Amino acid sequence: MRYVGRRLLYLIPTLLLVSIIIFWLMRVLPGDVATLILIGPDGNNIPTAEQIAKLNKELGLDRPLLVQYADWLFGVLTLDAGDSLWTGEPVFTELFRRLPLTLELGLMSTAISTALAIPIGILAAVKRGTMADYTVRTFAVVGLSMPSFWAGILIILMLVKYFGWIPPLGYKGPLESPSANFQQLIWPALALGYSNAALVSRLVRSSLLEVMREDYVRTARSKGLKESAVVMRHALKNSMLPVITVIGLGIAGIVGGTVVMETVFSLPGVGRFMVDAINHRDYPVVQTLTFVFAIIYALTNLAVDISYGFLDPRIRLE
Amino acid sequence: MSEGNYWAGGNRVSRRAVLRGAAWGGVGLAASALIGCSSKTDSKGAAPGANAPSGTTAAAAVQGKSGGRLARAISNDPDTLDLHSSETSATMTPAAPLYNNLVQFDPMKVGDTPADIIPDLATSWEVAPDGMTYTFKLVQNAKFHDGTPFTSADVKASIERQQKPPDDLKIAPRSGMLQVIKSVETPDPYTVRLLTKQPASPLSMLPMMGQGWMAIYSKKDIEAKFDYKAKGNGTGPFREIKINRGSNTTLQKNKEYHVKGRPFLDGLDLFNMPQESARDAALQAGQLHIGSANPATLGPLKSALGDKANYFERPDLVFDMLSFNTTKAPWKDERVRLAFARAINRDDAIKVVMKGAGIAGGYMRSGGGWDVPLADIRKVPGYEPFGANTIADSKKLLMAAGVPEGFKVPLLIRQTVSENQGLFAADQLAKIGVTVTQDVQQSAVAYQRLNKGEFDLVVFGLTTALDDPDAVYSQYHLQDAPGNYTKLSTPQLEELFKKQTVELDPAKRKDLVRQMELTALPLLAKVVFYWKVSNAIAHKSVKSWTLHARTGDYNNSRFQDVWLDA
Repeated sequence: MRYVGRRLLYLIPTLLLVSIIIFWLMRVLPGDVATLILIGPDGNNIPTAEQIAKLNKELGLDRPLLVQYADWLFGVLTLDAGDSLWTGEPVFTELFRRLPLTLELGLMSTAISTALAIPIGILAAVKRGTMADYTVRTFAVVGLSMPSFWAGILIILMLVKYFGWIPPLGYKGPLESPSANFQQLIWPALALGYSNAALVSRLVRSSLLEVMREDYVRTARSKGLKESAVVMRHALKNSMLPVITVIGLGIAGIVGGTVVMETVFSLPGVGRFMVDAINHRDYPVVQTLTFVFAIIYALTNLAVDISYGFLDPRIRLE
Repeated sequence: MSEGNYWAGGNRVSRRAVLRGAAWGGVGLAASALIGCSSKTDSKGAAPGANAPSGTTAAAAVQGKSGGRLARAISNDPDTLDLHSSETSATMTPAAPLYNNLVQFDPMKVGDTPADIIPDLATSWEVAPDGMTYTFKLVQNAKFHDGTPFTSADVKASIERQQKPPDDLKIAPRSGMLQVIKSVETPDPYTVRLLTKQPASPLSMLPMMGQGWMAIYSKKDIEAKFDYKAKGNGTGPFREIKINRGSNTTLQKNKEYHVKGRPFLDGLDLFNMPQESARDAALQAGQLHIGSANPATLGPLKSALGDKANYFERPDLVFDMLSFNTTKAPWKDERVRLAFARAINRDDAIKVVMKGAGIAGGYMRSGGGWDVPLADIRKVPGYEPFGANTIADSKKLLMAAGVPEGFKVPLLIRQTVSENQGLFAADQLAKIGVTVTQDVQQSAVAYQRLNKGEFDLVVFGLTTALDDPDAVYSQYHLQDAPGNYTKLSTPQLEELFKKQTVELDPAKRKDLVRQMELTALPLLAKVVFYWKVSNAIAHKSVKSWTLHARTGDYNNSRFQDVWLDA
């Protein structure tokens, strides 16, 4: 518990640093939100310097940077990060509205990739040098080389070309319409899951092969255990440490992974919220989302570290 | 019918009658004559639409079927639903169905010309002989969605809100245009009178009032600071707008709409789909009724949809161009600008950049009625046909101006919007020995640089809401025009603008506009590559809908008469 407490304390300076960096980065990027709002999404308006200055004042962007930063940080800590400069809607309201979709998509893709990667990774390791191994390795190389957004586009085009069908438009929540929700999320989850599965299956294979060379595995075999028992009961658990790390980081990176997929499949998740906000220089949104992502990332990392202790009792967290 | 015949015909009726009804088709006729169309029916100076019931259109003749929801795609959620404070289709598409104007462009006419103006909340109108008083008679049965009856006070409040924007309006793009109106009078609840500061041609006034942005809001709401950014309350055919950000926007049928039997549709569904390939797939799968296409996607979509869809192609109100910062050397030297202008092979630009979907022209839209014939534009120095000696002649001009071979120049380019055009310009200028450094910037940065004059050369697309000389020149070409980043103009050009803007005789005005074009183009403040052509695709089940010249749905987003033959 002391270890966990200490790790949580370390988070404070880390997150402060993250908040300062993202605040600074957003301000040094060329182009400002007032100009973007005034020219509009089509870029048709011609804003004058006076209009830009007036809007900057209205948005509070003419205040000293330190005041803006303190104001925002206090807001985030009190769950009131202000309103989007673009839409005028509260940042947290929009975030909480979109978060379930992104989590659902992320968890679906993680479930698909894990369910796929572990068995085929084991198969490739156990059947090393056979056709099964080569097939799995080819599957992995293709998955690693192909950007997931491209896989997503291919899926859409394939669905419309061969079935004259695409998932229903307009996002439906899992409680509102479970069937429509499943149809909308399964395809991007497959595209994302395939990409992740490619990485994880390679890792499972190499990690398991390494463990299979250990003395205790040889001992298990010499005791006359069946090969399946050797692999599943003795080798697999110990080969999972790096795999858990990658899966854990994958979960932490759900938002990053879904950014493009949410755009390709027109899903209103947090990833798209972030991309739109960056494009619009919507400072409160970008800063808040980044801050929240940093917290999620740090906590997931911590959870992964803690899980090591359960998987391998030799690891002492202290 | 020629313009001369028209005005001879006009002389047979009183001048007041000729000026009546903008519309009258009169103006329509004038515009028709201007654009080379003619109609004997119009020659009497009758006012098409003047006696028509409010809100009816050419599409009204069609007996449509009620029911169904029309699905379209949008690529952005609106940052505001306030039509008075916007100039983007992201606002227009969801907000236009909520409102009516005084007058409107006929949804079934494609040109968006003055001849296409028909009634909306105004049932008829008269223009005084001096062009300084416009009197509109209004419908008496329209109500706002909250039940408030519509009256002339709402028209006055709406025009004044755009003309003299309150502090809470971020921008008011029509404010400058509306300065021509001195005051708005409301002699009775169903009559409104616009008094202008100077003679104002119906050829400009009525299209200005007919553009989609001129929505009529409720005076009560305006005074109560209604949240137009997030909500809507108009007299339009659809109501109850609901935006699910990132997903879809829905509107429901206004069952108490003042035009009997309209709208046909039960509602509109606008799906937020930023990815073009996803939009195209949804169109092919029949989940979207209407979609757009670009030169690259049109062919595949046609192959996929075949005769299941109707295909539309219109010249758009957008042109791409190269511009110079004439406050700096060497761009002050007209020989340099001329050499650069000549180096651009416009035929190749249309072929290469637009894959054929472009039209050569000047500052007024090609084929729009106000344009100078292409043969005359071809005689303007810098716009001559590209020939065997063009490159050599351009090099000589540069040499004479002291610009050395291998001259290096940065070219400001708007990211994603003008990158292809920038590549093309760099290639063309390389042929006259100019080395272009491509300076690709996001829109916000590009605008900042342009506003501050921090550029040498820029490739840009210019867009106008109206094909109208007042609108186009005051926005882009006059000395103080906000979009004239070069600040290049001449007293002669400014004078011609002033003359044409108060000229009420369509033929004389057209001649003045022609002179204005032929004065502005040789300055080479901007070198026009081409005018763009836009495409749209609609499933055959969609009836009474067409693509307008001004795409982006600026003047055709209400869907009052559209129906689905499912």
